[in-house]
Amino acid sequence: MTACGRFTDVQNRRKAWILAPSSHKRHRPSRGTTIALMARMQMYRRVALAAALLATTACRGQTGQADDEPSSQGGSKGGMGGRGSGDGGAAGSAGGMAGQTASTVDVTGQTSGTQPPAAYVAKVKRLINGGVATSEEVAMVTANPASLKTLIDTWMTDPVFKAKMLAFWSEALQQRGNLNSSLTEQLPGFTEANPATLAAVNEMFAMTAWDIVANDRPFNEVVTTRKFMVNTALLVLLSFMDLPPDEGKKRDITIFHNPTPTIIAPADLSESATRKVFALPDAFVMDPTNGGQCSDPMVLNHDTFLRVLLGSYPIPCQPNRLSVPIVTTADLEDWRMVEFTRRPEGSVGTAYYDIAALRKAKTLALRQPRVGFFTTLAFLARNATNEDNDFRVTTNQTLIAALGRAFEDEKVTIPVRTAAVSAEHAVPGTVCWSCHISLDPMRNYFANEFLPNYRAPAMRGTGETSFGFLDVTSDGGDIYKFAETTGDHPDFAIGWTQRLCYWSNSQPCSEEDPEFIRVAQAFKASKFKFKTLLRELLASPLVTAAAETKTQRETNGTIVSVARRSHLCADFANRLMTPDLCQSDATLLRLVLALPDDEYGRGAVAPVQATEPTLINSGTLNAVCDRLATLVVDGKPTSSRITSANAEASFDFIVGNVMGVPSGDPRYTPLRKIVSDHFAAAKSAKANSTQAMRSAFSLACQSPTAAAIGL
Amino acid sequence: MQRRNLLKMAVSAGATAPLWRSLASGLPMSWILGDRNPAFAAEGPKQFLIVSLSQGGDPLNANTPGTYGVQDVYHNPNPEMAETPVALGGKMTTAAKPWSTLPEWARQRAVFFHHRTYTNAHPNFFKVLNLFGAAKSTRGSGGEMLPSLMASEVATDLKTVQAEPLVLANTGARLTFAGRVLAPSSPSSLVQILGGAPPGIAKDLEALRQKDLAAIKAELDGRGTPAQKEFLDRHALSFTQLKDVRDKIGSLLADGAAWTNDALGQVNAAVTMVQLKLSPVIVVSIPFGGDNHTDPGLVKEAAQTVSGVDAITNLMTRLEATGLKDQVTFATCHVFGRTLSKQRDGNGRNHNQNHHTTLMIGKGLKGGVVGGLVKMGSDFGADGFDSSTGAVNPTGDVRATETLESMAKTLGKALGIADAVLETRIRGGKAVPAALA
Repeated sequence: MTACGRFTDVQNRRKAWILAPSSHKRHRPSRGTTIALMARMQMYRRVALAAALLATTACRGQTGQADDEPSSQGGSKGGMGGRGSGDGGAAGSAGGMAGQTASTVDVTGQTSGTQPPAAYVAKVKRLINGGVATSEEVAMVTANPASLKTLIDTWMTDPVFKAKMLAFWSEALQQRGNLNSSLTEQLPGFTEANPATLAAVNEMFAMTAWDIVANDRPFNEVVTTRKFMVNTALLVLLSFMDLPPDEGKKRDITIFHNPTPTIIAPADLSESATRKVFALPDAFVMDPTNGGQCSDPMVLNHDTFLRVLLGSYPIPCQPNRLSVPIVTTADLEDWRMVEFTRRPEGSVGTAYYDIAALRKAKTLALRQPRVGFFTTLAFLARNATNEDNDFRVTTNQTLIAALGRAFEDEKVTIPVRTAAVSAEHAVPGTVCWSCHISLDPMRNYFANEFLPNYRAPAMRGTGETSFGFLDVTSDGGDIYKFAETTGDHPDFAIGWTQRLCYWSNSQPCSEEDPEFIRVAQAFKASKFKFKTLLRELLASPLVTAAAETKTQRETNGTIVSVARRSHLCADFANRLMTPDLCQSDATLLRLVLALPDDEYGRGAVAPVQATEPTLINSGTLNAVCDRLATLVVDGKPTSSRITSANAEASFDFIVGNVMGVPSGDPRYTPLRKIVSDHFAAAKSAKANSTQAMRSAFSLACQSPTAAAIGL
Repeated sequence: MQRRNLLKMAVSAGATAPLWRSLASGLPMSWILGDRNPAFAAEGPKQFLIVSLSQGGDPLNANTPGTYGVQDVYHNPNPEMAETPVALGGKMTTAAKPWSTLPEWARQRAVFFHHRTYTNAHPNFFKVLNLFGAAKSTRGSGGEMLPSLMASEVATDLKTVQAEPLVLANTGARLTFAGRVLAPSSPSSLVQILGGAPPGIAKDLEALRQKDLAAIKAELDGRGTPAQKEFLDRHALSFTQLKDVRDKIGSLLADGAAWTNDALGQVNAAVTMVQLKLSPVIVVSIPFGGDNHTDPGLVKEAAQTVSGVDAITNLMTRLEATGLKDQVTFATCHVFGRTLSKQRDGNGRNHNQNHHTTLMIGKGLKGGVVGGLVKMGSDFGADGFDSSTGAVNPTGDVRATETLESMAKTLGKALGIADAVLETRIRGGKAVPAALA
């Protein structure tokens, strides 16, 4: 088959991919999602354009005509002609790759962009759980590249894998951010919330995503789910958000410390909720001598009482902040899945202060919709809107996080109804119009449900809704339908495959790369099983670079990148056998936060990812490693592993775990000698044994094999 | 991909070790060669660049020289923004009052360049910085962002520690250099990172580790793939650079300037970074009102214009005090400007792809106004102009549709970049003699 012939296959595959009906039954168009004829024609045009581009590129490559980038195609004519890489396709599936790479990959990598098993097995394992690939694992993959998928499945059972995924989803689904200030839009007076509560707000949806993935449910449920992983403290917050707009200032909650004839202590929290009378915990004492501002009892409004419940209310007569909230530590730890249903207008729901009921809740009926990642407190806090912006940012950021796509003025998909387009931006053909024509009708999905501060409106809105985004239209419906349409969008699989390309390679994959398309199709065919996507992608030459791909030729080749914060912290946790090591020490945490991490800016489809070992990055790593050394050498977390008293065993551990070079690796012995010599030289320089061992640890921690992903 | 091919070419051509290292590391040849190789000597005096970027699309353009005296332009009504005579390069014009507070010597070399950015969307900032594809890589083919383009052209002559821009603020954009993403480093974190170990045994051990990191690199070098070796080169150089900077920074940190993370702290840190010759381009972000759709009475616009000009004045003062005022050019660049007509009853401004004012201040510039306004629909846009005078002329030799590229070329020329290089790396537009000293 000629290169052009192969690209015809690519065209067909791409066409089949885009046109194939969803295999996810829950989201079939029959549920109301209509693909308008015009949109379908647009799709055909997109396919034709992509196919034409592919064919042109392929034929140019075949005839050796110079492109703008005379990349390794030139090199491949001489050095890699037999490697099946001249068509821009990779080795195909991992199974196919197994047959090809064993005989075709240049294990030295000296003349191509391909990487040997020792490099990519280490990279993949590190990406998955921060662990060090053993010599046995490298040998297994060298003998049989297909075994990498089996290893990946094994590595995914490590607890650190969960931590890595939680970090990844937190950012990719925009659940991370400084909530201390941003949550005040939704929850006035919440600026000094209990840190544990704020952390729970951040963690809620990543934990939900983990539940979806751990139970092998379709990953597009992150868009459509109405079940969330929550704790009781979060249920308090979400119930509070349901109060009508003016209810927060209503003063009708009584708190007391000492019972009186008129204030009889409730028997339990259920009675407290019924009577709206709450006893403060015994550890809290109101001081009536302090400026006369105190009284016992006190009557509070709801905004204030929420803070009392959660332990962030500085009562005027108490110099110290209330440290023992009514919502207890246990209420922050009772994570479980709770289903959120729609509460009909006018019906009575569970009060936010009915702690006893919330502790038992398995379902919760709310006036506000809670569906998918994009209605969590954290997502809405991160994407604040206002009356002028009017939920455009909310809509755009939802589509970016769900699909990895944003509105573009070059790709206009006109919704079925467009009456909701802002007149200010409605001049057809203008750049403004091309985005607003789609965005404005879609923002009503949010505007009908939320006030600009994301609290519940007095009555749901009735603004006209219509979905139109990247060739898909769907008319009418509410925010639940918006979720269904978005979750069923044909770009869902492509978008998440691309997200993981960034995460794995620190750069995008070519979406026209046949191997990329294969991986995305495998994800879709699996009914969006996230572990399938991970397995297929991480075993793919897109990540391993075991064979050359179109992606490699069109991007920056193989990037050996600095390990960014999330990766590095997972490495520390796994290799030093101390969970959450980065958060175990305030000084270390402050330093670690100066390390770059993947971040999605507002409106950005691609993350900001530092790849370069600049002097700033290396300086930060230097400070992190020095601090870490004081914690783990002759210290508690790994006292039995790295001690100056047991130097030889410590050198083994340092090279094997901290540098990540296994004992069977030919680099192990010389590196171990450098480390042990360093220890001796440090002692000669009048360092004591602990200082010398800490220096040896820091040296290893800053070494290239520890600092980079892909060495 | 491009660099790997260059690396291959270098190897196959028997390139010298320094060339290999330069290609592999992205560092300027002069950094590797020192002053030994005249082939890489400067073509002319180059300038450092401190550039303020913002994806917010701040309303800096709304109250600058060149927007006054045009009917229906709605300027900020607050008293601190009153229309005030301002001398630029010896010529009188008018602007909002804060601009009159810039040091006189800075106004002599301050250019307010009116141009378009061709986009109304925040996420398109990277396209603006790429000049919509007109800014080219060193090979003249692939794209490059404007700050990085400038950095790559002046780094060699300036003998900076690193060639890529140093980013001190989150500008909202994904800034890249030769395809590699640049992570921001806040001023407060820089203090700690660059401070290093205290004198004594800790310092001695730091030096010992430096030596042994080199030994580790040598061991790994012998067994690495090209991509791995490229990383090893960069990693090693970063520690060498770190040591050099740490050796010098002590006295510079002792001058008492606060390295906070706000605009003032950023410009303080930026000046020190130039003193250290750490990078040829320092990226900061000085707010001028932000994304001010909703700004009742344009109060925030007024407050941040005052604080923004204060930050620039502080920068100029520090440059003068440190003897750097003739070596550093300052510029601003936002994703777009804001609407100039009275909209939202004077309580905010919308995006304006047709008008943006770039402020440039530097020795290579001649104070004044380049370009100006034309009525476009219900608002205004930047018009074409005559490059010899800078005066508005819709049929002038710089058309409205090439004003962005012309701004970029003018800035490049002010930094000392040769015309031929600018022609290769920036397609379209022209350097404007009226703006150049």
